[in-house]
Amino acid sequence: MKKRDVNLGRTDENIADQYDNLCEGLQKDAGQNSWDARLTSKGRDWKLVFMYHPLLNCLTMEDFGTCGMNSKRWKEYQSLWDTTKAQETALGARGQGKFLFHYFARGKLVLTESLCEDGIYRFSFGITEEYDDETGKLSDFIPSTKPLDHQGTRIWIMDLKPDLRDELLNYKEFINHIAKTWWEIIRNWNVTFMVNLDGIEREVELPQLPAVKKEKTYTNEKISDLGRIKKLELHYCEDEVPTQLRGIAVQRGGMTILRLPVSADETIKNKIYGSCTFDEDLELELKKVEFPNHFGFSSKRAWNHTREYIRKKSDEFVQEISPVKKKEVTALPPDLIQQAVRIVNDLVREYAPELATEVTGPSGKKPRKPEPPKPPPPLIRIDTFRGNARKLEYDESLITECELINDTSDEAKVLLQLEIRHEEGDLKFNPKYNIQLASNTKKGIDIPLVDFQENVDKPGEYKATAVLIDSSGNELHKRSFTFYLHEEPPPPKGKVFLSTILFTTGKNTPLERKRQLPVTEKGVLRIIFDHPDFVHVRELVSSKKAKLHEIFLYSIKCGVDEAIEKLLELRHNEGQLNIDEIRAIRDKHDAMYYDAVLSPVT
Amino acid sequence: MVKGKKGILRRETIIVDGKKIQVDTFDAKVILGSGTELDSIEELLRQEEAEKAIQDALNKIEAIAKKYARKERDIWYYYEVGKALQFIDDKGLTDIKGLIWHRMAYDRRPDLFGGKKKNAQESKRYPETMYHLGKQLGKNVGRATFEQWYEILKFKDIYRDKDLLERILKVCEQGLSSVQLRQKIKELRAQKQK
Repeated sequence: MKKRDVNLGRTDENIADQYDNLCEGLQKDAGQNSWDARLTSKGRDWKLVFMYHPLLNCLTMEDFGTCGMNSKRWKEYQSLWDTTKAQETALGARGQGKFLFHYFARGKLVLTESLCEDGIYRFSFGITEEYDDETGKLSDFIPSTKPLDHQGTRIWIMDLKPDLRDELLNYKEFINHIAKTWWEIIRNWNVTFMVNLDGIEREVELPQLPAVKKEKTYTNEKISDLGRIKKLELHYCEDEVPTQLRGIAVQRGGMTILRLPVSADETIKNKIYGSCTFDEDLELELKKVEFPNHFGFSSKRAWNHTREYIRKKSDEFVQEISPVKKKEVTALPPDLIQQAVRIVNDLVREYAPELATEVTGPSGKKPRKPEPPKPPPPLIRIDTFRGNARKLEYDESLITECELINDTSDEAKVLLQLEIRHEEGDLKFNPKYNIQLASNTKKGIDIPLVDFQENVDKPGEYKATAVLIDSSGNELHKRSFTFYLHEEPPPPKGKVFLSTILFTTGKNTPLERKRQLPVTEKGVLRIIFDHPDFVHVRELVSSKKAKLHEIFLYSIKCGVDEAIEKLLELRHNEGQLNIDEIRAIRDKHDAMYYDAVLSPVT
Repeated sequence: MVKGKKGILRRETIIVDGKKIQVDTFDAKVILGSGTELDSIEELLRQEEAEKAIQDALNKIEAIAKKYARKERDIWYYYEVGKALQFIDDKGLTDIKGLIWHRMAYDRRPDLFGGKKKNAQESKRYPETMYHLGKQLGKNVGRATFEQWYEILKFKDIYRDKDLLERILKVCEQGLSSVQLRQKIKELRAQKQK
């Protein structure tokens, strides 16, 4: 076996692409390195100072109350993707955060000084591909400055890139990032973050939170066999919570990884904040599925179960607060893209099947005969029954959304039977629920997550079926969906409203002022690529990942708008377009936007 | 990773409100439910980059064209444009070179590339020749006419053989027609291979 050659020249750029906001990422990576190195568990005398030196155009990050780097830690620091720490509860996992530091430097030059417990001073200078900790000293680069003289570490990012420097010098924003990420250790342990980017030293203080009107705390809650929620706190305030603290902060080791938005009306949602911490077992499980940039989790079992628990509790909390019905939203989508695509076509199938053209999915065939009109849906029925993804991998979970409707004026007692079965007949899951449905209501059914494990569950096609049975044993309604485990699903078949999106330029043509053209009979949506709104969307984000995401969301929003327009036309032609119908369509439109735009990518 | 055939922005005719209009549409299309939606958008961004590079190059070529009153007959115009077309190499767009020629010489500015041709295939020959001419040493450029260079550069990579190219250019100075030159190149190449 031969060692592979590795070209690390552009590693920093590839890593930088993972971050939506580079300055937020910088403080997060610097903070977690220093917090991992704290001398005491509660961070006594711990301090991290960010300072910009205008004459040198460089940024220093200097920590106090930390152990500094001994030879072992020094070696780990200088390596890339050393996953030793991934097995520990430390915040850092892969040692890739420092490459973001290189990205901030025009010449990629980063200097590092560290003084460890043995009083040994270490210095290195390096770029992404290489470093030297033997031949150089700080004064070779910055003659006027004394070497680090206390236990800890100081990192110099030399000659900052102008655009990133300008972004960084917006010190208010930078302080906000720190407060938003490190509020827990600032509040609980009184640790200090200092920011001096404009010649004035400022201590990061937490924004004032409004008075709490109602709160709820859950402790020591078991999450499957993964570990326990240490504490989930939910607070509903008298007034609006500062924007950066809204939602439920998912914490790991004192750092906020992400904030889960609460599903509620805007007026309620803006007044809720909370946090969730975990025991050591669950924290370790979550660390395994955490994104390398520390801004989220991949949609694996540990995160799916945890997120569902938080979502369920926050939904219950909102129900307690809200005098009105909770805003109708679907489950937070683990795969936003699939969800968004499905949303457009599902809306049309659900509300206006007449809009679906004879267009089929990429592999579907055109039906030869027009289908007979469908009978009206039963008054007591399964309104929603769908899974979170068309394809699942081992160690991922199926999250099933299920809602029942009783459109009669009487209460109904029904039995809901679920079944998930592999194509070869193996039964995976078959719970039964006895449900009382009040008259004229819609009720969500809380279906447990279903996990899939390698060597236990067969790969391939699975079918989930829900059957609703009345008290006399008659079948009232049946719905099903299909998903694929560890196998590529075939392209969807059957009628769809939207099949293909094209991008056309509109400048100097009659299309110049249009956002999109109406969806054609073949399900083709043509979006105007140089419409100022679309250009603006693309310019707003800098990372490639975020840009792809924004373009896709914009496209889906155009699809949603077209579907709504067609639906309005249809209802108008049917003479059913009264004010209630317009509001109902409008609400669905809002809910779709909400799902597509506000739900985090997980 | 972007998979599948790469494309570019192209001109097409569509019908809007009953009227035919010409628009430019990206080859990248998002097929919903195909599972390659993000790949398609990544390709779309690549095509946007290519279109920007094309626009920049066309601006440069337009400036070059202003310096030549009779550009169709001036080998130095073709040479200078060829230099501008080296952006293909600089930006790593060689794999979609043909599509870029189509876009520049057929869709956008045929006037800068020998005028509008009957079909796209024919219109690509001009920028392709210019592109290869732009790689030649300046001292050699004036030794053959554009038509002669057109014939020489049809032979893939022939100009990389300096000795053979020198012999061909000497022949060109005798004022051979295109057909005669083509025949002569074949002979010289055969001799060289022996």
